[in-house]
Amino acid sequence: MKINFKTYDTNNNLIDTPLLGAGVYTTDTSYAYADNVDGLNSIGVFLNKKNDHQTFIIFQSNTRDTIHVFYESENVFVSNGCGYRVDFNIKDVTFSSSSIEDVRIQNAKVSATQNDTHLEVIYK
Amino acid sequence: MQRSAPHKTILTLKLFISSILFFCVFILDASAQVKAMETGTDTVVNKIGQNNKKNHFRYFRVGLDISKIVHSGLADNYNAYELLFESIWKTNMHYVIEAGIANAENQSENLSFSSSSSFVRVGFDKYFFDELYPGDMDNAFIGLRIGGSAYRRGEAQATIWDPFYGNAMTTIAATNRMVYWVGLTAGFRMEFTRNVFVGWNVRGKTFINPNSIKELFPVYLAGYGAANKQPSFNYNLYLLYGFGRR
Repeated sequence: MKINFKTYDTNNNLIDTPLLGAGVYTTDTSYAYADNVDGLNSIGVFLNKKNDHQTFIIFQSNTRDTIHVFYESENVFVSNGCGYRVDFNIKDVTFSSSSIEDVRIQNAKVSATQNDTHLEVIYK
Repeated sequence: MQRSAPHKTILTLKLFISSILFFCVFILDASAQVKAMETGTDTVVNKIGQNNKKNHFRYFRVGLDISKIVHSGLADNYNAYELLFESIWKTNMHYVIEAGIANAENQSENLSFSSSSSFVRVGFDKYFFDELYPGDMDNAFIGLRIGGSAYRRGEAQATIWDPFYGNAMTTIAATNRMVYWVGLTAGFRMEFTRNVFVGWNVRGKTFINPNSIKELFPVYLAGYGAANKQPSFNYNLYLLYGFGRR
């Protein structure tokens, strides 16, 4: 799942927003997708097919926000040789609002065959 | 039956012509019949029809597909066996029933399941040539088939790879399906000793209801072949025995 970070400019247009001192983590593992990274525009994260929701913690300039992503997973037949892959369908997103203004679902279908943006995280 | 050298030459010529130009011959044959009917040769047609009626279903052939036995011995993931039964309806027109079974194993690190299937194909063969001498049954043909296969897939085990959260195993329930197809065939039959024939068929076919088998298709579907191919082409090599009144 690909997450883009955005903010509104003075003309109320959404523009890419590089995060400073960014950290992206999930509560399911100790893995850090990003740890104190400057200029983070977007990030790809993994969804866990064994769960129906996942929590991501995003730090930006020492401000912490939490995003809960609720989804369904579906086994999709690829071929006899490759077997199945898992696609996800994002059903809902909730978030804290320390520095996040909104989180929008851009593309609910998450598939290994795509490189689309799925969530837009809009900062204040 | 001992044949003279000219007969053997003509047989070879027939085999060559039928193998390369069977579609052209069939079209010419069909158009000639239509033309004959249009030009008012009803009397001749009726006479032939009356003679043919006497010969309906008096001679039969049963055949075993040798190629499937060989393939089954060589392949490590399927076994298939096919039989053929045909009867002469009238001169140069045979009705055909073919049947058989197959078992297949799909084993890979991502997906494994076993399947079994049985099929029936029915149709006709239209032969091209008249007899060169009394009792001559060496001939080439083109035919149409409609086939159906009862397919049973056992429970499938799939591994879904996830290097991040860990691989997961999933089970897909067993299923039974009916799959249908239509196909064209062409081939040749040659009598190498009295009532014993050898022959080959080439076949092209396409599923009528492909959606019924679009996932977890068998390595080999009885009567059709590799079920992931649409259309599919294959061949048969038959050993046949004929009986009845010639």
